[in-house]
Amino acid sequence: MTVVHFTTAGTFMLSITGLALHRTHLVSALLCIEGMMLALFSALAVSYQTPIHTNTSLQPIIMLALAACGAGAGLSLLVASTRTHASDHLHNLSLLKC
Amino acid sequence: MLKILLATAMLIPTALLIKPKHLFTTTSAYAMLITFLMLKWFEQPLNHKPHSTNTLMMLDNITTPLTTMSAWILPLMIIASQHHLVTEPVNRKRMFLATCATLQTTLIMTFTTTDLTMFYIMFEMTLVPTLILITRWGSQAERLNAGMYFLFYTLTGSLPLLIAILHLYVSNGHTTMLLLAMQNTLTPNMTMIMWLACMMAFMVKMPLYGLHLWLPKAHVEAPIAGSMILAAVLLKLGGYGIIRMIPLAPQMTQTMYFPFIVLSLWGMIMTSLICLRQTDLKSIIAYSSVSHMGLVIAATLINTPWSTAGAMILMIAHGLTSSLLFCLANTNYERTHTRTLLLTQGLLFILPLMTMWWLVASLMNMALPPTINLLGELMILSSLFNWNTTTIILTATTTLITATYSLYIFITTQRGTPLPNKVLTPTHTREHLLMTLHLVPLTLLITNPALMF
Amino acid sequence: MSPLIWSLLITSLATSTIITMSSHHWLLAWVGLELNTLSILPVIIKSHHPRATEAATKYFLIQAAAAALILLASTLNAWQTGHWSIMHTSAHTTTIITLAILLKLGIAPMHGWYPEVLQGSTMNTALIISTWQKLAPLTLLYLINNNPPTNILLLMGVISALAGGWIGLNQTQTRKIMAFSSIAHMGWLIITLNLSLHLTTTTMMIYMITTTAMFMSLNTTTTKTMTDMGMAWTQSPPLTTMMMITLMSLGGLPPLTGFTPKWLILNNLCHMNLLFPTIILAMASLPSLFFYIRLAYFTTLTTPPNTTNTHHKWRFKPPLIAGLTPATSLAALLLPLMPMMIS
Repeated sequence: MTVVHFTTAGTFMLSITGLALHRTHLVSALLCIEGMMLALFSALAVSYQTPIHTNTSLQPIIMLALAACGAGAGLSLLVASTRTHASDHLHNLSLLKC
Repeated sequence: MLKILLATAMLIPTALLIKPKHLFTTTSAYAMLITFLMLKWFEQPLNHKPHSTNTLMMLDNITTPLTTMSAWILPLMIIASQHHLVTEPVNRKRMFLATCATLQTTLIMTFTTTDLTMFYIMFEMTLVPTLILITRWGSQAERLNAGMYFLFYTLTGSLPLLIAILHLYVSNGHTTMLLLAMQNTLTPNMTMIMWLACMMAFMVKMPLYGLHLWLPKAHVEAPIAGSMILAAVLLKLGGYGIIRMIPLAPQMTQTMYFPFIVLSLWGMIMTSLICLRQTDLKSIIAYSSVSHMGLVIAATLINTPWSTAGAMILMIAHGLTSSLLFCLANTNYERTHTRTLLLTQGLLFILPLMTMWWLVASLMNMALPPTINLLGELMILSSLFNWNTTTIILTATTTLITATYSLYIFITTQRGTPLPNKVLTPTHTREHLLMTLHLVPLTLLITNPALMF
Repeated sequence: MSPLIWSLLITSLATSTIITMSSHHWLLAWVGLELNTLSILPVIIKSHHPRATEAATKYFLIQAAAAALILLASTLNAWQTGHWSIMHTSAHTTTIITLAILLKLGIAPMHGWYPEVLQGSTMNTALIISTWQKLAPLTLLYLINNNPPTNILLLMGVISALAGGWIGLNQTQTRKIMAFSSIAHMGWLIITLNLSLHLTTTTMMIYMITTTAMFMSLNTTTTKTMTDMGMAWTQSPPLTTMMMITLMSLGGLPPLTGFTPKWLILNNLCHMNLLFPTIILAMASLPSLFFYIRLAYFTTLTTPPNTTNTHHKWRFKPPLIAGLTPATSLAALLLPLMPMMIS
């Protein structure tokens, strides 16, 4: 395992652990998801790009575009749930427990 | 076979489409006609066993009497329910009759199928219409609980049966009952658990003492048609299943049957004693069913020719007798609107002709000499005595207690002083016809008991 | 919402599932999953209600995280093996991906989000989430089936079948009950991945048919809680009868359609000599059946002239949907056609 592999996989693991365990703010959950996406982006961008085979060079861009879409959707959800639930605390999202 | 099955299935659209004026008359006449057509099944000139088969279904001397009895009960159910349904709108009457016809169709298929998987599916299929009968047309809130008990006792008992049947299918490649009984490939490696899985569904359905709690509830809460079909036919599914399953594992039965026979014989005494201290008329009849079915379980498990024949006779006799008793209880209920024994005393002075039916029914229930009840009990008692002499203590005691509680029902309902502030309508011809139709086969079958086994 | 946007969303919802189904490259599969999530979100959040927002947020968090996990696992796979093909996924990667997909499907230990999302969305959206949205993840499970993590699938399936029935006993909202019923059915479904893929298809089809019939009936009668269900008969008495039959079919009572997958799955498990899971699975269907029967009691079995225990509601009489009749009749009567379906 090279340093690049270790760093990207480690970033992803840290982010998903943060998503699973750190449950105060919705924005931090979204940031964790972004962290996962960025780790994946750097994994794709760094470890697969060779000067010889260029057919993989679009992959990180496609991924980043969709991750940005996902981030946009997440942020709009953040706005919507802040408007309806008065804050972005995750424990406020308990209307559906009943 | 198909002419009976299709005709019975066509009862469903008949009940749904016929003019309201002719609804009850047509359906009951039609159902009775099917029963008469079915009587041809008793003619078996070559005396083969099974005497008519095709690839899916068969008739033999165990199937034929039970199927014919279930077909006989259907018109009686329709006749008995008329008063119960008189205030309902016509669509609900249609749905009721359609449910009864569906139940009848599935029962015929359950009894006649040769394939164990098909048997299982049909066995379970009888649950849905019965559940609808109990919970839709029962009258008290407890009926919902009773329906749950009924459904879940039976399903919990029969899911292991499904797995056992699938296991048989995997190891043999087919689940035809006759072939499985002939090949007997299972017996050496058939474990205790397989035997238990095969039998438990029927022990619950029978019901064996200890697994019987669903039955009194279901009987008490069900409407008259539900009680009749439950007592007459659905309990017999259990006996039928045991008779069919035993040839699959004769050796294992020889070691496994002790706890079940002990429970059933002990349960007979216990349930008969319970009958003596019930206050609810339908509950007494239900517990008396459990007691009689204990004899059938013991007889089918020891599986000698005499005991099986006795079990068949007792199943037919008890089916008609308990159905008759439920009908009588229902005639009282329709007039007094209570099932409590204390409130229905002294009916002798109000409905004198009904007292005659009550007397005959009680005598049938306690197995008085010229009835087939006696014949069945005698055959079972003697074969049990032959199996083990000490069983006579339990069986004789039960016979005694059965006589006691039968007389107890008779005396408490008919004698005594009637409560003064009741206005009771006189009996209908319909009700007398109902009792007669129950009693005719019961009394006539003694002239040719060989029809039943 | 303008019809243009609506049709765009529905189209992309359909297309994204098809993209995932037909993909050969892990990145494309991920793109399909991500598009799928993004296009269902406006559909959920359309009714501007706090519950809808909350449901959409929960759905987004779970699906995005699971999709990212799938992409990570496939990247790891590409590091190890050097190619991105879905068909050639190594065993370790398959385990991670399977877990992520089970999260997307809402299988029992990871089912917490599922009932809440269904509760927060409208009946039609709940129908989409519990049927169409299952297809894309399930197709991925099909595609990586060359070395499936058998133990995990079996264990999760049994746990899911047990938990779905057990927790569903405690619910009074019909959408939550349907969610737990869906969890239990998904448990049966992923067990079939170990047995045969034909069986998975059959199970999935029958699950979709029965669930669709049930959700459509619930939608037509605007039944949101069990007490609402007690008044469904005022809107269409024949429909409540069919609802009762559909509920029993969902519970798997023979001879209705719902018995077909149960029978075949138990038979296949017997074939594999897995007696213990067979017995547990068979018994796990009983608690689910209990709450279906309880719902069935409310639909038809306690209607007048018997005493009812629900209040009359003021409702418009809704039009009956045309698809209701075929859906309910398919949900009841498919068992005799079973030999044609599995071959």
